[in-house]
Amino acid sequence: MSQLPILIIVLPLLMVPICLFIKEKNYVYLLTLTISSVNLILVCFLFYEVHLGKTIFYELGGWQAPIGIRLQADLLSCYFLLLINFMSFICILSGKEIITKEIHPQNVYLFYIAWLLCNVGFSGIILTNDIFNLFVFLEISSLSSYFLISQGMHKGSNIAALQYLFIGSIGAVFILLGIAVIYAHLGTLNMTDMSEKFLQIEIPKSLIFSIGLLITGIAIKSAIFPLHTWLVRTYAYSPSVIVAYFAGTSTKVGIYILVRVFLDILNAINPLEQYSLIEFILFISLVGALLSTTYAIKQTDVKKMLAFSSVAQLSYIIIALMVLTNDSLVASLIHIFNHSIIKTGLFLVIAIIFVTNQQVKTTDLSGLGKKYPYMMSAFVILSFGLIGVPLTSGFISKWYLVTSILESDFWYLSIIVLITSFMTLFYVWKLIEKIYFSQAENIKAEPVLTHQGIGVFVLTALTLYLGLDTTLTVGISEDISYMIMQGINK
Amino acid sequence: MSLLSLHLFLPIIGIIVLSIVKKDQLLYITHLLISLASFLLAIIIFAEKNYYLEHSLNVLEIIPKISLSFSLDGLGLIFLLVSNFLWLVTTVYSDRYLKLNSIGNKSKFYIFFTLAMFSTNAIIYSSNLFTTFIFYEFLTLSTYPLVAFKMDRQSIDNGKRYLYYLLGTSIIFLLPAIILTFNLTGSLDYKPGGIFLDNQNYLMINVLVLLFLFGVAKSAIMPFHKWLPAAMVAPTPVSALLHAVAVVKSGVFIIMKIILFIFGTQLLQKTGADLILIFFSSLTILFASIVALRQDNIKLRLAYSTVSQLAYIVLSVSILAPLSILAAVLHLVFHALGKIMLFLSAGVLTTCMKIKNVSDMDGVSSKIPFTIFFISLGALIMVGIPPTVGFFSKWYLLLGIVQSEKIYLFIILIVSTLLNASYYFPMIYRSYFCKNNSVYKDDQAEDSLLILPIIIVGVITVMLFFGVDSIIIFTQGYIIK
Amino acid sequence: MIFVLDIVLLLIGLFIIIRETNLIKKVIGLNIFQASVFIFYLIISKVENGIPPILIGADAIYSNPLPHVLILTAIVVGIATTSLALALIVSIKKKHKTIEEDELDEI
Repeated sequence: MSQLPILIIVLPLLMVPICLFIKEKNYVYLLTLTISSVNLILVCFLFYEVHLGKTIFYELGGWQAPIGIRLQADLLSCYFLLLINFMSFICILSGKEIITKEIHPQNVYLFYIAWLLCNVGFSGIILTNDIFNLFVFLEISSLSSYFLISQGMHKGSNIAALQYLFIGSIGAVFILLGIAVIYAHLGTLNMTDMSEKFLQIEIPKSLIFSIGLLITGIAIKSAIFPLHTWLVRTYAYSPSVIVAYFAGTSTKVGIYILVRVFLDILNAINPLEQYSLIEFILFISLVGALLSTTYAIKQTDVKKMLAFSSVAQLSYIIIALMVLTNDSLVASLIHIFNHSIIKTGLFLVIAIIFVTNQQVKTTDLSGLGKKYPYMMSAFVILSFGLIGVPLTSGFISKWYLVTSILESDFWYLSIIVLITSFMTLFYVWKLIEKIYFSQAENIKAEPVLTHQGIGVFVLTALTLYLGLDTTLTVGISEDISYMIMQGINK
Repeated sequence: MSLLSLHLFLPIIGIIVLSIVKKDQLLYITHLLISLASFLLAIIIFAEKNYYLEHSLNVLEIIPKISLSFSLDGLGLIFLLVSNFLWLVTTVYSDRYLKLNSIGNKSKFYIFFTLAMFSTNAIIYSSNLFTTFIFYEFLTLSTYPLVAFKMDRQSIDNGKRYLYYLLGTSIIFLLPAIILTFNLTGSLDYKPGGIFLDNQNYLMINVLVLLFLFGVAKSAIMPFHKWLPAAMVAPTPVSALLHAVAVVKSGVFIIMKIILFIFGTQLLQKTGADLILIFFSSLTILFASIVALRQDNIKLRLAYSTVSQLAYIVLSVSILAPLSILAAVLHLVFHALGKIMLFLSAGVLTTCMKIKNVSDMDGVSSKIPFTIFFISLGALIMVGIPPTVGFFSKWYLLLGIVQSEKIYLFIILIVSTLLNASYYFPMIYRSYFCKNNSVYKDDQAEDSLLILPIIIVGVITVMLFFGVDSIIIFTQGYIIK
Repeated sequence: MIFVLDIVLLLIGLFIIIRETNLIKKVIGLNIFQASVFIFYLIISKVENGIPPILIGADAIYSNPLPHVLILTAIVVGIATTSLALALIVSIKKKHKTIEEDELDEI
């Protein structure tokens, strides 16, 4: 069982040269699907093992921890790993026809390969215990995502990809610089080792500076307001399946790094407290939640609207993280999971219905309620989840967010969370109204294939299920937060 | 317990059947059967009330210590009987109404109608605030398609306003209020005497009361009442059952439960939070009556009258004297009966006579004598004039005011009664005594199937006038202990 | 002192990325930006009086070899980024006939 972490990373990586050799797109698709389902099963095994209360280590090349690179699977990593691999599997399952239609035929096999690499990068980030290794995996996922984005049909796709490349590389360099400063002070790259050393030394100013650099870098990568502009552009111009996939994964991985580095490694945010950085970040996120919801209301492009909505939801997560109580950490972890499922579902519906239409205007949704009754009811349920209507998972996360924020020192922030979540209703309703109350234009309704429907169905069902039975999200989040908070209070 | 869950989930089964059935006639029969079965079950549950009042139904625990669970109490029992009875009555009416007005898409109408009644029943049965909240939102969402049913510009806009008001207030005020309550008390269950401990911060309780009052916007307390007039674009049966009975009364019902079973009368009195409730409800009574005076559209006038009558109920409860709580319960029942009569009659006016405004009602009594008679009866109930049941609720409210020694409320009572009279009597006066200018066609006559439900409700109110003792005894036995 | 020079280099790189509209120049800026961080790693690896980390005897003071190794990896990543950026620029040039950002913004 201790081999599981490395298998999750290496198996898809091994598939890459094989796929490069095969080139035939159907076989490559099958291989990708198989590998991602195998990966998902492995992750489930790993999750089961870890859930019993132990942490699984794997020493790369047999070198012991502080010197060698170690992979570490604890509950926090498994939680995210499950999310990432599940999303990847669902999107690949539902995305085949869309990808075939959208991507240039010559590039389809490369597209799948990049997808695999991207997922390897995400899994690696989550599993590694070595901070430099984390940077490398981050770059693997980023490089492949630049490629994936550039493959969109929209004429602006490669421009968006290039712009993302510039911004992303700047973020990566910031992270690299931050790592350098930390290494210069602590002389270690292993994160567990680091967390122990942080407790022993008095933290100098330059280290605070390096933490600032790390925050900026991660904020760029995970599109935290106000560094979110690339996200909106890429969501609007990338291949639609990729948007669905990234909506549930890439920004969430960024949040993972944030949780890992700032709660687990730094053990506490005391260096941040000193310079009232927490208040600063909270203020920024507050403005972010308000502004991006307002922008979302103003959008006429559906993908941009949902992208802005993602930025707003990310702001909630950041607020909950920064409030930094046991409960708020639980709330943010729950919201990460629930929001991923909801957003991926929404983008997937858009992707399936508008296969060839790159720019989806709100008016394009007119009258779709009659043409695609099932797809659209899924869309409605998912958007209810986004608003936080009871009996959907969105309500559970909202309940926890508001409860935890109300209980903390920053209780007044909950007012903003409530108001913005009410504002969510405005843009969501704009879509629902179009779907059901507008006259249909003459678009030919293409039948939705079964396996595409299954993906959406599973995500919708999960949204409802997680609204009723919260043992998966709440239970595990509580365990994780207990684990982290124990570290902090050490 | 099985009957309770059967009654609760019967509409869901009904919805499944309704979505399968395609033929209009079958749809109607199914809907009729569902409502009939629901009413009968309500009666059976009433007959075995001693058993059902003791037991509760736990479905599942969603959040630790907060579960989706259902039970029944005396207040719920009364409301359950009223709403299910009126559902049955409206079923007969609505089919005929839809046919005469040639409104299509009946399947959608019946499905959402049943869903709304399911949510209403679920609200009645909820045994904690959390469950109430869930079905409160459900009720909003399930009535929205009915409000926007005509799907023209106006109904879509009004539907949006309906939704934004109700969902918005519930998200911004009600949800934090519930969460705060949970944080302070660690429980959300309705319990006689309230769940708050004595050592609460007074300011906090006052804030919570305000949040709850505005959060349950279904009770249409000003300033969050605008959704109710907006909802009047819906077909008349919807306005009648949902926006005079089910939806608004659910709101008032929730407020009553919050006052009696979450805060408890003693705590409210001690913290002075009852004054907030009294202030806002009195304000609503007066302002809504004044606005109603200026409405020419019959349905709008009735809607504003509903706003002010609902505030009566809230006012009665917030006086917190046993007799005034009795008045609130009585008014909950009588206003439901009276208002549905008025709305259904207004529906007859629009359907058969194409009359939508009060100013067009001149001399119609010769053409539709029954309708006008029941409009007058309903109006008398609303004003509270002795030979009708409406008198009792006013009477007990008076006694309650005396009991609580808040004598200044007399003024509000008198002024509002005068106002009530002054916006209802013109309707009666015009239709009986004014001269008819236009000539009506022959086919403009009362439709017997439309009138039948109104007659039934009318007869019931007359019977209740003589049988009011039974309600009072029940209320004093099961609600005010 | 050398720190300051390095930071100046970093700022120059950042400035070029933000300011330039020509995509190729932006890539050059990115390279300068990355290179400054590489140099930073080399600076921190230097141990006073340390000799190059080649095993010669028991009691010599070596400079820290680890950052050099790290930077090798980072350089590889940098090259990958640069080549991908250049490839994207080529495809942009083919599609839109320009590599000036202000002209591309209009699309």
